[in-house]
Amino acid sequence: MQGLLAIVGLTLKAAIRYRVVVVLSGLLLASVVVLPLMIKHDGSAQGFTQILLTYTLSAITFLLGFATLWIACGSLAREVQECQMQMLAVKPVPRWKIWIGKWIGIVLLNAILLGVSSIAVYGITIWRAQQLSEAQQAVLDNEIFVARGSALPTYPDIKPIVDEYMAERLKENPNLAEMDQSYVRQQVEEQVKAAQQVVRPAYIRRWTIPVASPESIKDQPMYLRIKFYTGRPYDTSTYNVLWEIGPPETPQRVQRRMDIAPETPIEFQIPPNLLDPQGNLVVDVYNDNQEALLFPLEDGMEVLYKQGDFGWNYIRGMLVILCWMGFLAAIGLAASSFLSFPVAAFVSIALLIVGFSSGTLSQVIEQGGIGGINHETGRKDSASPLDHVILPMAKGMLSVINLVKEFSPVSFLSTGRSITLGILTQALTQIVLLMGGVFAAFGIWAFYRSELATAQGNQ
Amino acid sequence: MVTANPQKTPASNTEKAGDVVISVKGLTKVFKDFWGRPKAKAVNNVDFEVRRGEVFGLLGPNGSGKSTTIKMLLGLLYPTKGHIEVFGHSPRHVATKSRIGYLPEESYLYKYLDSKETLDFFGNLFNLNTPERRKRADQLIEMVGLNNARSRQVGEFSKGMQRRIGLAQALINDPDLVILDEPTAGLDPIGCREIKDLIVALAKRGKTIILSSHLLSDVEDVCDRVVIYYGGRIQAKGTLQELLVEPDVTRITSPVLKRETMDKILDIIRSETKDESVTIDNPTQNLESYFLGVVEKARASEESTSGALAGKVADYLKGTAEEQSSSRDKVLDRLTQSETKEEVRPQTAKPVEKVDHGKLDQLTQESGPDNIDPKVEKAPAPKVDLDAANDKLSSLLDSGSDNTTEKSDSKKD
Repeated sequence: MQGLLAIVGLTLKAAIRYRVVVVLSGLLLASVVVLPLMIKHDGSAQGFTQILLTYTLSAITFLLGFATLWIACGSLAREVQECQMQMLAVKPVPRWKIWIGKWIGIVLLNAILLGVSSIAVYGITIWRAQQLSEAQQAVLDNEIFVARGSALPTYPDIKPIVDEYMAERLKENPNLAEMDQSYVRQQVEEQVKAAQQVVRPAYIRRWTIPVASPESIKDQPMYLRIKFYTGRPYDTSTYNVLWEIGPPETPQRVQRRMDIAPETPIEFQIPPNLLDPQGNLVVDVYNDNQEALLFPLEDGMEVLYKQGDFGWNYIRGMLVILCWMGFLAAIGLAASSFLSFPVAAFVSIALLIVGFSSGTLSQVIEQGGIGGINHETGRKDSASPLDHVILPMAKGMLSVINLVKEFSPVSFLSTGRSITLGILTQALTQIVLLMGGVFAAFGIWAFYRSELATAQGNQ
Repeated sequence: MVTANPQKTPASNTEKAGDVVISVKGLTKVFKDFWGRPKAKAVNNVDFEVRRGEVFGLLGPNGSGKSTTIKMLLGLLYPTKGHIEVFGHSPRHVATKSRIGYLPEESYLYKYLDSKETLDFFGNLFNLNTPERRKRADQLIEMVGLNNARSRQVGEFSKGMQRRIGLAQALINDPDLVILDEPTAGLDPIGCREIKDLIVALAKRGKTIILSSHLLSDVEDVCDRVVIYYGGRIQAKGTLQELLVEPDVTRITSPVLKRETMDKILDIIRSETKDESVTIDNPTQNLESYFLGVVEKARASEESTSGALAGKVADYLKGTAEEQSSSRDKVLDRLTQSETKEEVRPQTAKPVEKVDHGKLDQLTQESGPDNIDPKVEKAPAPKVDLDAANDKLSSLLDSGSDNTTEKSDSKKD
């Protein structure tokens, strides 16, 4: 343990003596202070949040992420290259301890830097919020500077429904069997999904959203966050929608008519105590328009309610970012366990970029391969031999990337959503223990096997 | 000095019967390229053993495989073939490393740490508690003469000072086996002498020392046994006595004789040696001895230097074997008393005189080869052109005075 702590201390000392801490702190604080000064917000609570929280926290995450990879690669590979590692490796400290000591040192360094910059962001945000109008301050207090729980409607599992529907259709029309089954299935899935998310013109659709026990949010206002699409792409018009919210046929039920725009998340407050005795919120949508309105299953309808304070939520959010940094440190150290510094830095940054490009991977999977697609179906008509290799790879990579990327602390904080202890534990498990552990195991194995000297002096 | 032949001296077998500390059998190291194709055979089927308490020298020209062998002994490189045991374990056995101290051929220390931090860090890796670490660090810093540079970062050190702090870190764990790769590289003659004295003192206390060097005088002064490498193979091995004695030549050294006495002696010798060659000359002391004498005079006149000044051997390195040998006491006494400048003088100022008396004693007492102290007796004093020696001395003195401020760019093995 003493040896491990000595290596942790040495890693921190190196960062301080080489002025990495000073330079990075300067850069981070500059991005925290300068960014909001350079980009003016529109005076609204949303604009304020976008710049003070979303941009600055994203900039901090980005800067720290690259710095972490760079430091991790340098910490191990350069010590091997400059032969200092020989002095460590001949001492009675197993190599796994050297590796883990470096990792802990880098994570602690990140914790310090993240701590300093996040305290600065917090202080500046609270201070500058006082310059907003009272109405906007109230919006901030209710919607951003709070930790809100989220509830989504429950939908039935569509797979058995699709199976049943396919079987019926094949029975009715045997010719369907000769068609491309994956294409037919996709069409059926879209129909089934549509039945659950579309409100046709002059129709009503009801959503039942299980929120919480009514007692836990008694007298607390709630927020309905909705997003919808129409059949027209890039639709800029507004649609008049009538909302009826609350237990049906009860006096608490409220009505609200609104003109709302498609394709943008919209959030509005609803009165407290609208849950039924089971804790469900019933929402009816009346579509008075000529266009069908589509509320996506994932984020079409969401209820937000107060769950805790902003301060603790903010700290938990920063800890999720620290989990990411721990993961990046593991990537950097793993690469530098068997590669020289420049190659390790290149490889790990390339991995990071692949991580960022998960949208492309999703697109490849959605389109059924790479190359030209049929613009009517949005998919490839037939899979090439290359697609048979690339598709499973893309699916595998995406599922691995999603283990890390599915946590969005910045987006959660910017929308006042609660980052619960459960989410934090899940982040720690998935990002650090599972994903970081895989890289750590590989890195330690490679480091254990590698020869740390050459016949000559410097490598 | 008179040199004649033939008087056959039987080779002595002085190999110690102590415990085997290092055993190397059939050791081979082949460096490969990226594609796994053999590139160079750095070490080729090497066998040797090192016993407890020995000072064992690895001697050879640059690129002969000395450093590769050392790095395999330390587990930094892996053998392609062959077997290594250090204290009965693989070189990668973690616990065994707590018994080893290593000084690499160059300073591989952390440049951003100062002397105390460096020793504290390495002390931590040996799980030494805080008071013990502090005590040892203080003693070692004093021993290697870096008292004035305690809080200076290692990156600012001259090459000689880096060797000194490197040596200190190698001894922080009071190791049983000390592996020194080119320990005197970059040191001035005084520093070289101090390190060689320290090696002798450590060996007297039962420590095993492995010394790699291409400086023949280093090896000759301190080593009990050597192996000589060339092209990755061991070309010769044995004690220095076995390797260096010239059995077919005799040398007599005496005070200056009258012409008539000399003629008489020569007549006797010529009658014995018939037509074979007999040479007569005046002995010269070696350059190191002369240089140390000059420095001692300068010290006596209290000229100051900003460089490193050696102190006494760290107490914890003296060990428990001190009572076992009175001759060891003498060496240690000399080392422990070397704190003051004047006290170094007897050790270094008159080495030639000592050599001559020893030789005379040996000749008059007809003692066997086992009684010969190889470190004193075996080397004939080199002939030195005095002008050339003076020139060299001047340059050495100049570079010595710059030692603490300039980094040496001398090349490593």
